[in-house]
Amino acid sequence: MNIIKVLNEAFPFLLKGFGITMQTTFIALIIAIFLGLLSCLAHLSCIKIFSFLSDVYVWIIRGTPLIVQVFYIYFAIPQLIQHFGINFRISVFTASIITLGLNAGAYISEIFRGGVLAVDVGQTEAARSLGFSKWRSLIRVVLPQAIRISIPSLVNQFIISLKDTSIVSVISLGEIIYEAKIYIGRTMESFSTWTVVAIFYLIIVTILTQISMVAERNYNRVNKSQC
Amino acid sequence: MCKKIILEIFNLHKSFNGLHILKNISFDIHKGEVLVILGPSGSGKSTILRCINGFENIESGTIKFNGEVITTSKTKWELVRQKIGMVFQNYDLFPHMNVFENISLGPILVQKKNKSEVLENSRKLLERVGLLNRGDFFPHQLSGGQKQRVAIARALIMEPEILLFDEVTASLDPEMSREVLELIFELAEKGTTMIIVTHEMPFAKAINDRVLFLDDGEILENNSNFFNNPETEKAKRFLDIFEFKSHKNEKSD
Repeated sequence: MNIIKVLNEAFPFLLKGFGITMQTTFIALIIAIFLGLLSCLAHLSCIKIFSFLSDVYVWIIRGTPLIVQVFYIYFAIPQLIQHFGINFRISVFTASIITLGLNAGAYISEIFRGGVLAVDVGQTEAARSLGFSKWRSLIRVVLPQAIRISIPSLVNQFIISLKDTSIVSVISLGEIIYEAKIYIGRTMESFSTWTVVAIFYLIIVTILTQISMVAERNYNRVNKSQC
Repeated sequence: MCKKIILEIFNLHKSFNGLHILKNISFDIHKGEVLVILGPSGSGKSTILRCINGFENIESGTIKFNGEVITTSKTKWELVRQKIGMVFQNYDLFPHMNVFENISLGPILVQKKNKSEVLENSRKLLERVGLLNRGDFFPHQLSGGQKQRVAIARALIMEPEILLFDEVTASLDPEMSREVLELIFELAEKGTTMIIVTHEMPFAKAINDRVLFLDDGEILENNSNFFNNPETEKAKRFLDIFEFKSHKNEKSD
């Protein structure tokens, strides 16, 4: 149990692993925000097939564990495609960001949907009474308010996704957990290593929480106008 | 009156969850006329306005706007609504936009008007409603009365042919109501065609050219001398609600 030794020896590995954690989370979340918005709009759409597809997507992702999803994307789907005689392989990194992006996207879709529901119907009617089409009132009036309402839950989802990256270590993505396990396997420094890993996560989550609080304060200032 | 008829409603029926809310509503309104709709709560006053603006589906009947039927499934509500302005009880200003943006969004986005022209118009309208110095404020920085005046400016900038007011002072205290009602008075003097749903009796009495008295979804009276000469018993009783007898003399006896 020697934290100083671990910091000296393992820090470069752990930092590299954490860099991959951050990189994976960042790209996955960009995909997720895009997917979430798309799925939320599809759900709100009058075209039945769109809202059906959105519901199925959310249902599947929420109904299965992340670890199954990552195995599915990394092993199951390539096998299925190879079964048809197509040589298909997917890299660990790609599989990781796709899985995490799809996963967070479903939750973000629900977060946005909740935000849209929280905006007063009067806002849509006011916009439509000015001659706005349904889409235009959604895009210009309802969504900007819905996204603002969603910010605290969104940041919460960002934190969850950041930590979920650790699950992806099961397909050997070289993120921080993976690097930590290798280092412990070599040195048996379990306590010190996991302490350092936990501190890495705590620092980033603390920063995200602070950002969330600032965003929330800004939102509340606007919200007062609705009463 | 030989003035042009702007809006005609024939035999309008509307049900909601099996409740017959509007029964055989027929009336019309001429250019420059101020029509006040009165009646007890739940009599269907607001629903009439919402039908005119296409926010409610109707079961049967026809609404004609400028001679054209607007109750078909092919009605282009986006076009019709630009000509029918509406002001709501809860103001419904867009909270994420400042006053200028709230007012200019419609003409810029929907009517595709030139930005500098719209800005000039917004300025004029804000001056007219007495809020020129509030252009950069956000809705949460305004009082209720100011918000409602901005909402009226937002409806006016579209240059509608008729304005619908749905209990616009119901959430305001008397002083703030006053500033909003005075603005509506000015509009009436300038010949704006309006349908006003209100519970402010002195205001209704002063501004109306004609009163529709509604009870339980039916028009009981369509009367241009309603306050002095109500024709039905129900209307008389309704007006009596707003009168108080003094008890002073009885007590001194």
